[in-house]
Amino acid sequence: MVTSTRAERVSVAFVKLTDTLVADYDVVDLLHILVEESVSLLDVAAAGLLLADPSGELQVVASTSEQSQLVEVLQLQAGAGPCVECYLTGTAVAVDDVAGLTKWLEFRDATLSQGFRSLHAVPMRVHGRTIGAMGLFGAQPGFLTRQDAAIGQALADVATISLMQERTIREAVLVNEQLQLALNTRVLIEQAKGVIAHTAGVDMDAAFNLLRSHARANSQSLHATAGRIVDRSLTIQGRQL
Amino acid sequence: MDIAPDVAAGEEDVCAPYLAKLPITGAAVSLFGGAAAETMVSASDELAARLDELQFNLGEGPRWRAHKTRLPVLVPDAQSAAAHEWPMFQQAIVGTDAAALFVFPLTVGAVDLGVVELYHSVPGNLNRSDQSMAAVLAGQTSWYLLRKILNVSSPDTDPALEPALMSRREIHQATGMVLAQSGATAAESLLMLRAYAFANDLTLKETAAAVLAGGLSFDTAGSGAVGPALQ
Repeated sequence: MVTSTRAERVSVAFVKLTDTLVADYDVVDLLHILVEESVSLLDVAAAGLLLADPSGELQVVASTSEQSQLVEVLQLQAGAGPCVECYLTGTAVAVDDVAGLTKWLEFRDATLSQGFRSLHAVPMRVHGRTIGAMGLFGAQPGFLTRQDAAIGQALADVATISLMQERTIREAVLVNEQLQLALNTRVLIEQAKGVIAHTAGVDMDAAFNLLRSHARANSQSLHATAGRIVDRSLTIQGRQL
Repeated sequence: MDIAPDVAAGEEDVCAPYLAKLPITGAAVSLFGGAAAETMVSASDELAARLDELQFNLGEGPRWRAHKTRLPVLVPDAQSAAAHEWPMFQQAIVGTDAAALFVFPLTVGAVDLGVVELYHSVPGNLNRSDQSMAAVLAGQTSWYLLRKILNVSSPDTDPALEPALMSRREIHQATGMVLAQSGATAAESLLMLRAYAFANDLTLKETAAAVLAGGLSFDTAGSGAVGPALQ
C-alpha cells in the first residue's frame, strides 16, 4: 500500500493548482480543483466557492457536489451567512457549531438538514481586495485545526493568484474581467448541463460529470466544451453500457 | 416575445458609465428582443440612436459583426471609405460625428442579450486599457440586463426573499433543455421560458422547475404539436 505524508499530499495539491498557470486552464476547472483538493486534504466533508458578480452579489461558481442541495445551502449564504460575512470583511469566519447559531437561521436550518455541523469560510483575496469566499463544511462540530485553517487559506490564495495570473493584475478592471469570465463560464456550464440532461437523458449531476470527462479526455477547457455543446456542434451521449 | 419594453421601464442610465470612463462621445445599448425585432434600451444622444437605427434598417454594420462573432468590433476610422464590409452604412455616416465606432457584444453564458455601440467624434482606436474597461462595462451591463429580464417575469416575488442564483441556476439549466428540445438559440430559449411563464401566470422559476422535472417540454419535433406542452 502506498502511503504519503500529509506534507507530500499538500505539495501535490499546490502543484496541481499551479499547473493551471501553464496549461490551457479554465477558471471554473481551477476552482473545482481547489474545492476538491480542500476536501481531500482537510478535515471537511464538502466545499463550495462563491465569487462576487458585478452587482456585488455572491454566486456559487464551484462546489464538490453539483447536487442542488449543496448548491442551495451555499447560495443561501449569499444573502446572509458566514460566507457573505467573510467576503464583506475579508477575514476568515468560523462557525464551530452550526446548531448553536442564533443568527442566520435560514442558513443554520439548511446546513443542518444536509448533515453539516460546522463551517469555515476562507476569503479569496487579490491585491487587498476580496473577490469571494470558499466555504468548508464539516460533518462534526468543532473548529478546523490551526494547520488545516492555514492550508485552506494557502490553497485559496494560490488559486486566486492562478485565477488572476493571466496578466500582472494591477488594475481593478482586469480583476473584474477575470471575475466576469468565471461567472460567465458558470452560466455556460449550467446551460450545457441542461442540453446534456435532455440529449443524454441524465440528471444534472451526471450531466456535469459527462461534460467534465469529455473536456478532460479531449484536453479542452470546460468553457470551450460547454460552448460547443450549447451551440450544438458537439453532442455528448450518455455512457455506453 | 419582446423583452425590451419591461426592461426599459424605470431604467437606470445604462450609457452613463461608458461616457464617464471611456474616451467616447456617445453610446447606445440595444437589446435583442427575439426573432428580428430589436428595441433600443437607451442612447446618450441622437447620433448614437441613429447609428443603431441605420445599421438595423440597412442590415449591415459593425453591430451585426459583433452580434455574429460575439467579439468586440473596433472601427478606428469609420469615415474612411475603406470600410468595404458595410458600404451602405459607411456611405450613410459620411459627414457625421461618428469618426470612430466601437461595438461590444452583451452576452451572459450562451445568451446573446444585445450590443453596446460607442462612437467617438475623433478618429483613433481605444487603447488596451480602455478596451478592457469597455469589456468590463459591457459585462456589467449584460448582468444588469439579465437580472432585469429574470426579475420582471416574477413581479409577485419579493426579490429579497429569493436567494438569487439558486433559482437562476435552474433557469440556465432549463434554458439548455429548451434549447436542446426546440433547436432555438439560448436567447430565444430564455425568451420562450419567459413568455410561457407570462402566459400561464407562473414565475420563471416555476416554469424552469417544470422543464427540469420533465413536465413541460418545448419539443417541436413531435407529432405536429404546436408550442410547448404540459405532459
